[in-house]
Amino acid sequence: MKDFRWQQWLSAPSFYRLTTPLLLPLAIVSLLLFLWVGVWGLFIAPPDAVQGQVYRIIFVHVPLSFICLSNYLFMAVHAFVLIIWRTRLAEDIMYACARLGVILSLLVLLTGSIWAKPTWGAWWVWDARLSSMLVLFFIYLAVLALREAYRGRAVAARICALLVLVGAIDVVIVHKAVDWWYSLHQGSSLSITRAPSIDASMLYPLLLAIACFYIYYILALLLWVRYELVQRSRGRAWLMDVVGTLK
Amino acid sequence: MTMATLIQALLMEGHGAYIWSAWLITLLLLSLMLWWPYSLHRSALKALKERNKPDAS
Repeated sequence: MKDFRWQQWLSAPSFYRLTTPLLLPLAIVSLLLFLWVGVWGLFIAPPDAVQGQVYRIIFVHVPLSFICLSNYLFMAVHAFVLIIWRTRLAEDIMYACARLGVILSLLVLLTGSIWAKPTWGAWWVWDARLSSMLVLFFIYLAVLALREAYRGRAVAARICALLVLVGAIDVVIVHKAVDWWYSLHQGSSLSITRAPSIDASMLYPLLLAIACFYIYYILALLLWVRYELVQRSRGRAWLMDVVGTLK
Repeated sequence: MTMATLIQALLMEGHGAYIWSAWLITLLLLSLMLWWPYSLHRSALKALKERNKPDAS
């Protein structure tokens, strides 16, 4: 029987080869779903009884928050793997998550701020949920800055991983902020433990939007990880094979 | 759909500027986060190909 080693699938060439056929289908599905979410969320879903039309920002703001926090947790898992097993793929994934996280958290802050103006009367308030999300944005930035600050790659990666693990506390704070402190920010509309607090006519497009953003997230993460792989594999035989097939 | 209905749909009861800007910023930055790594990746591979091209002379 052929010796099977699962670790071989975590190697750079295997990861690169396995993910190549996924990119185009993921791009097509996420684009089609985004169009569907756009039509449903902007034109078909009914206006909210309290907020009227402006609530339609929920269909981008909430899915962005979901993937932004999930991205951090995914980054923290790989930071842990990196510290314990020191695998290079975990390092690549951690940095890819940090790059994506900067833009995702910025988008959560921007869309939240745009929604806050007509509903609260202010672009920004120093509320626990908003402030902790701002801290998350700075943690993502700090990971990328720390990476550049150290000359030694392995040392930089371990220090970044430690920062990521410590920063995971902020994800808990972001999630629980509206329960722990008085907040202008509304509570969660969706929860695993209780029934959703929004009507089905708004819930279904919201669930579709969340699914669409997760598919997008997988695609974006794969693209960034593949770029990290190429950057660190210069001169390797497997990469030269890839280059050889390039048109 | 008449022109008036279309304009009404775009204005969103006076909140159109907020709603459309939130959606457009999202679309723009999310697209950028796909194009950017794709472009960097492609350039890195092309640079490697150029460097490894057999010398014509």
